[in-house]
Amino acid sequence: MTEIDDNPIDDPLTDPNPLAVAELDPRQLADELGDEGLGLGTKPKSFGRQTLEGFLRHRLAVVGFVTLTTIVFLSLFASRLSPYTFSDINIADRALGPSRAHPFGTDDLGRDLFVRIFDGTWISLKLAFIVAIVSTAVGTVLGALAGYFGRWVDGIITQIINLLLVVPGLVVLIVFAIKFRSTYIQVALVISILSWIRIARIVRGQFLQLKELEFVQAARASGAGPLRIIFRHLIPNVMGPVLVEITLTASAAIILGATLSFLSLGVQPPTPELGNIINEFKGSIDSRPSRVLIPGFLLMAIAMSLNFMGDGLRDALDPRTRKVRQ
Amino acid sequence: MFAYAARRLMATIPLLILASFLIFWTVNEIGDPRDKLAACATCDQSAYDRLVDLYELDKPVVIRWGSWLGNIAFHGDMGTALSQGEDPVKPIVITRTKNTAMIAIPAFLTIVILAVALSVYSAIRQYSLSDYTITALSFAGIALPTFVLGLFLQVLWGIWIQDWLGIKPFYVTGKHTASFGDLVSSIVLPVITLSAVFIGAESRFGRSAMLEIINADYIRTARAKGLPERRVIFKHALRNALIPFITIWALDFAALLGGSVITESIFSWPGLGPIFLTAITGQDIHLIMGIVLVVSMMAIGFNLIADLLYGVFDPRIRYD
Repeated sequence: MTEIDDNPIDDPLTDPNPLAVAELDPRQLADELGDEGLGLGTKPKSFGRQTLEGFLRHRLAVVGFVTLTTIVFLSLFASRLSPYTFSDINIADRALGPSRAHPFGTDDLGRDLFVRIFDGTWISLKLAFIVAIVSTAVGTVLGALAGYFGRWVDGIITQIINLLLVVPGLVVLIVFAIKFRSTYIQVALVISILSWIRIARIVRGQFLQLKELEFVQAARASGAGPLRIIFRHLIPNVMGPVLVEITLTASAAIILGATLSFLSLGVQPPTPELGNIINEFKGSIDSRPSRVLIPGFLLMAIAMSLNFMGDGLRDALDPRTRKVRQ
Repeated sequence: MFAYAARRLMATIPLLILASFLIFWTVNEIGDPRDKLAACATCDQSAYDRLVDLYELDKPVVIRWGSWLGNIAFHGDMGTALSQGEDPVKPIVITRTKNTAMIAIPAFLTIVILAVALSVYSAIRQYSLSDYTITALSFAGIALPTFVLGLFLQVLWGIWIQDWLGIKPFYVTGKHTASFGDLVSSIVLPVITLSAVFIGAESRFGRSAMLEIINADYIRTARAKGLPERRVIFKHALRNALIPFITIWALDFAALLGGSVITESIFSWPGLGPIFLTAITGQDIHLIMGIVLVVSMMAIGFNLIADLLYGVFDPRIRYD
């Protein structure tokens, strides 16, 4: 059978081919042919299966996936595994460095930082997830409408996009954040105001090409209405690039969310979030740098994992870089 | 080409006006500046009335926006900044833009030089150890939040290096102008912080642009006719790979000149970023609008310049 990544967590630096632009290894190919053959009896692999295998062949993408999963599990279970909660105050144990009882130390009120930081990570992750969902939904639908109907529909949507591109992004976010900040859901919605644009442009571009193809004409000839054509026939065809864009949007969103919180314009304390944790401890960075560097490192690890996964998906979905094997 | 440029600019003006109204309206929604004035202990009733009158705070938002726009359009007057002791907005924005340019221009040069060097190096040594190192570092640069990098550099140079080596080569906050050396030493860390993300993103982009061209037929031709490799890479490949960079450089340069809220705040640099935050929290509408206007116009201008340069460097593109 197919040999997929027996050692996925390889060091990317010594890894012979982390970008995995799939090259045919003749030996491996011979093995596979020996097993399966290329005869007519061979069952073709489904699109999803091919994509999954392409993704798994991309070492960095697998590293990203494993890292992200680990962080998600840690942030889900940190408060359940630990005897402390994110708001337990214990003045006797205040401002401790890392120790066995408190792996990341404690803050100035004696709250356990391991639980606090991972609870914050969980909020950051949820924020990024909401941004990804909202901007994908809005971006796909608006991009689809603009691309499919053209004319004035396209005109209005393109002008809205241009309008949002004229003013600098952080300015818009800050203005809205001042008005709506407080819960992570509101912050996520503020970030979504801008992040749907990229997806909408990509979907629109794809639709402009796809709507001229024969299968759309065939669907129209057999009596399908515009909504059915858009949602049943066209949107499934653009899910590839959109999927790549979702990971990149989530990665940008988690950093933007933390940036807003760092400026005290995002998720408000006492709710922990990676950005506001860093903001809280930036004053004591010289005495206890780990309090800032650990959440900073987590942010970077999450964003990087998502970028790696996006890169892997792009390669896996691109038929030009995919190993041709039916 | 000039007709094209003029038409593009004309098309942007209504958008800019609409955007300015939306921002004016949104800022107005944040809260009523009169609440802040009324709470002010040192202000008496006459001072309050004067400010309400000056900023037309008792009038509807459309009227206030209209008179702001009219003053700019007919008198070039950007108003006065409530949060800066009612100083006129224009000189504030000009000084701040100059300060921002002082770190934006060196940052831009660093970005351009490093991104091109890393792209070429990565591409001609594809799949080598150094290619992977550069790729990993670029991804890290993109994913590292600016404020984490800034804080880290401050601790590294302000505390750790000093503890280990007993020297403190760079200022970690503020703008020091006593001598040229002081100025250079105070811009180094903000410049590194500003550049990191851009270098990461641009070298990723440049690597794939360069790879695409290195595998093109005309490069094989150039090699086949016996040109030295150096000439093939730098004259035939790099020149073409730089064309798509034009747009990116224009957008990035505009973004840098627009000021960085994060980097400038962390390093206490007196640029556009920190004063924008002050203006927002002080509900200083004229200053907010002034900064937004300048920053947006730079973005639009550089975007247009990029599109025009594209036509100069790539003769296949024609504007009409």
